[in-house]
Amino acid sequence: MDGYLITVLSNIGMISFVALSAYILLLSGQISFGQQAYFGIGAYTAGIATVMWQWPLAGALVLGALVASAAAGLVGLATLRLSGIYFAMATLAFAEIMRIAAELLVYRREIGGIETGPDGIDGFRDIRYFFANDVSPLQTCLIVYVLLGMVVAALFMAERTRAGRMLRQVGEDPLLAEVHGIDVMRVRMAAALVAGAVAGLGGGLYAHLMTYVEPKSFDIMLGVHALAYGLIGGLGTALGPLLGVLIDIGLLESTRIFRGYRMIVFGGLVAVLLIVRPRGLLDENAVGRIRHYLRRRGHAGD
Amino acid sequence: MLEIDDLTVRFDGIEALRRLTLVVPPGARIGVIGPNGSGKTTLFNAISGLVAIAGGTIRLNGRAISHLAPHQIAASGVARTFQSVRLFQRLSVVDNVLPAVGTTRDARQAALAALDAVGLAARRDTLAGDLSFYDQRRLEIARAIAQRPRLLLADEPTAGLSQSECDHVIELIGNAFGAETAILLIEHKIAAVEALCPRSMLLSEGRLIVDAATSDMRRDPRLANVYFGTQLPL
Repeated sequence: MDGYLITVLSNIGMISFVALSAYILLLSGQISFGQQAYFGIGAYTAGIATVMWQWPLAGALVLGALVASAAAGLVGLATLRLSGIYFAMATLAFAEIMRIAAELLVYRREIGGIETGPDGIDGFRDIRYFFANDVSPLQTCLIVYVLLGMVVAALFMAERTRAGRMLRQVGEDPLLAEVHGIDVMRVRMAAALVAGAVAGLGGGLYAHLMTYVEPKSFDIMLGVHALAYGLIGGLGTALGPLLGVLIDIGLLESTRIFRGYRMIVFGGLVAVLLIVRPRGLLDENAVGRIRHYLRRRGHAGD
Repeated sequence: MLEIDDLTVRFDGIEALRRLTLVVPPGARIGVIGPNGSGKTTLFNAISGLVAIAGGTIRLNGRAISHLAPHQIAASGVARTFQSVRLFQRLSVVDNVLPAVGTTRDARQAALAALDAVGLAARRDTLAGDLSFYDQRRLEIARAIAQRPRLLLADEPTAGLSQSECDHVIELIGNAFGAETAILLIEHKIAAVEALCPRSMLLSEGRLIVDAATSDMRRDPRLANVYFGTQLPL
């Protein structure tokens, strides 16, 4: 497979994690502009674990996800009672605080005769786990997609459980959900923890694939995109945000058909979709129709 | 079962409920009538924990519930429907009805039985938002049935329905809940109240002014008085 294609596919895969993270919160009815913070926390944590503590990759990725999830839980304690624009602003503010904190983070040590580690605004270079372990780009791409597949499969299964249903009920009408016997705060907190972990896992992969992270990789634009992916692709299924990523990175960015005008096209696409299809291409209606069609075909085949 | 003592609810200095005292025995079916703004829905909101109370107590089976969160009150056996239909429009019919409490298998059986009781079992996979208004009303009742409540708060379940639909909904509510379930029914159509509730209460300006047999309520001069401001020559 050609190197450029592998890179594009890996990028689509990695960004999908942060898109799924924003999607989980969107399902709970909360618009977060701050999921990039957990992506960044996962990236730094996992990078530090493999480079400076010489952890194996699997352990580092799990640690990145856990630390990001814990951070999301703490932020959730402070923000989940807010709603609408206030929640959006609070999450954005927190993410910016984290980004600035990363600019101040200097944690340098000598590993194998070379000084390494996060170096403030200059970022964290030489996260060379894949290189040092002779993992090819194709293999790293596979790792990304196996993990992404696991997350998507877990979300698919969760959608069919009581937890998934409660999440959608809370997202659609929190007051009705309360009266229906659902502890809205608990559901929102669970969503924040899972969303933080998913973003953190993606961040850990990102650090190792890029071999280099810096605070500005996790700025507001990443958060805005993460939100937009769900809103473009659709909130009816976990495949929606992935479709959004595919449209943006796979179509607009990689083919360069719009060259420098990509952001304008992307912004326009978001605006148009919010008007004509506010819950995205694969919204609940579309997903319902597809399910119905598949079920009919399934019966016809019996 | 439900004991309300000296309940007061205030909104910005306006007393929406004033020192209301009420006892609802298990299985009682009581109509709640009164003009707009008399405090009927506020009473329901106070019982279900949606508004803060300024004074008094609400007890359910001897336990004070006025400090509990709405989901805890729901879990202790209070179900309600809303004056303007309130459903999870983007979820399927069955997903609207699946109760939050109870084991999964139990909940599923309760949900399907409830849909069957209101005649919506065949539409279980339809999105609730795609149902007709009448079906949405019935779905709200199915949701309450699936919760297996000890107290049902039905807030104008017939609003916006035709006469025959209205009769059917009242009949449905009358038959679908067990004899131990108490029902409070807010209704403007006195015939509907009479069909379901032997007893009814008249609220006016936040006060309970008449608590009587529904058949007597019909002839009570105070009923016309609070609705029309004067006694009409009926």
